[in-house]
Amino acid sequence: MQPRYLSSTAGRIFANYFPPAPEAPVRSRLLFIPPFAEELNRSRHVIAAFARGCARNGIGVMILDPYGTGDSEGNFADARWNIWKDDVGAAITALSQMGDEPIAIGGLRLGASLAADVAADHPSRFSRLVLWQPVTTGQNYLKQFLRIRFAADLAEGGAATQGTKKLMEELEAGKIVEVGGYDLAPALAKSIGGIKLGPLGLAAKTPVTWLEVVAREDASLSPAASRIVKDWDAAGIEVNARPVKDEAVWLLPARVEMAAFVRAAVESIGGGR
Amino acid sequence: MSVSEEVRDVLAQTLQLGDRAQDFTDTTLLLGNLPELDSMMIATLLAAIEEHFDISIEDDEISAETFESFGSLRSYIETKLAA
Repeated sequence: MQPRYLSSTAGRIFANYFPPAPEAPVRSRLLFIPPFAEELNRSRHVIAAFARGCARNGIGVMILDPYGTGDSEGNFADARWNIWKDDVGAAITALSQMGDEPIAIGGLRLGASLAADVAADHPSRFSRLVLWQPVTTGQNYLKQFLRIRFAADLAEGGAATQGTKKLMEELEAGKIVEVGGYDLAPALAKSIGGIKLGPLGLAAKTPVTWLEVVAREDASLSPAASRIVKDWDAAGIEVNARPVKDEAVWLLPARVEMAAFVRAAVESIGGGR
Repeated sequence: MSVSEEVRDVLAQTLQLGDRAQDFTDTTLLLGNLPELDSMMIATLLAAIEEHFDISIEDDEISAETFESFGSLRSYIETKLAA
């Protein structure tokens, strides 16, 4: 583990690099972007386990905390989508300075969508786009995020619950909305609301590994994921999409290890035996 | 499958309850009684219910009482399905 700070547009950002084991030849490097807000806290240990698994197999993984999140500088309220894209750029530069090996980019949930957006700006720059349960439609994700605030009001038994519609209106009026301790800025909400994964992947022209957590052994990809994968496939983009039976760690209040998922994730980018 | 069974299934899958959900009856308390059911999970559960039953839930239709017990949640969903 090599924690470091990188300089980016809005301030210093934290990146944790898991170098390949000395005995393993370096095959590639991966920049991994965690999810957003509370989903990050709940999934951090699983992402670290994945990075260690990759490192044992010759794949160096850098985990980035974009500006205003995790251990990076800045307040969440000051985070903007474009600042985050700059942060990803700074991390890619750092990775490319380590050697000439191919660089892949990926993430979990909103981090996966951010990775896809950066890949779309640089078609064919990355050896692979790794998507774990990516946010496919930003508008639905935003609604779901705002619902956490509504649900928190419910859980506290408060009568003065703010419906998501009302919260959405506040954002549109330019007000910051607080959700579970995170101050969401209207500008960031607008960027998130505009995400459409389908077109981003088409623009990226990058081979994709797509993993989705499912509840049953025999379950297939969700209809939303299947639709996008089919489009990409038709456009000639190589997509390796697979459902993995495990628990959706980023949602669970109790810590789960997701061992099956981590194993599948390491394998899926060529790290397995 | 009855609505009760389906609600049990959605709860078990979303909250990762395993077999525990099979014993749920109308009087089983949910909100405040299931540690899994925090704000993030309520939001997730609402989305899972919308998807599973193909219904659209408006926030102003629900309150803490909706999630008070298995019975109150089941009854809310049945009302939605009948609408």
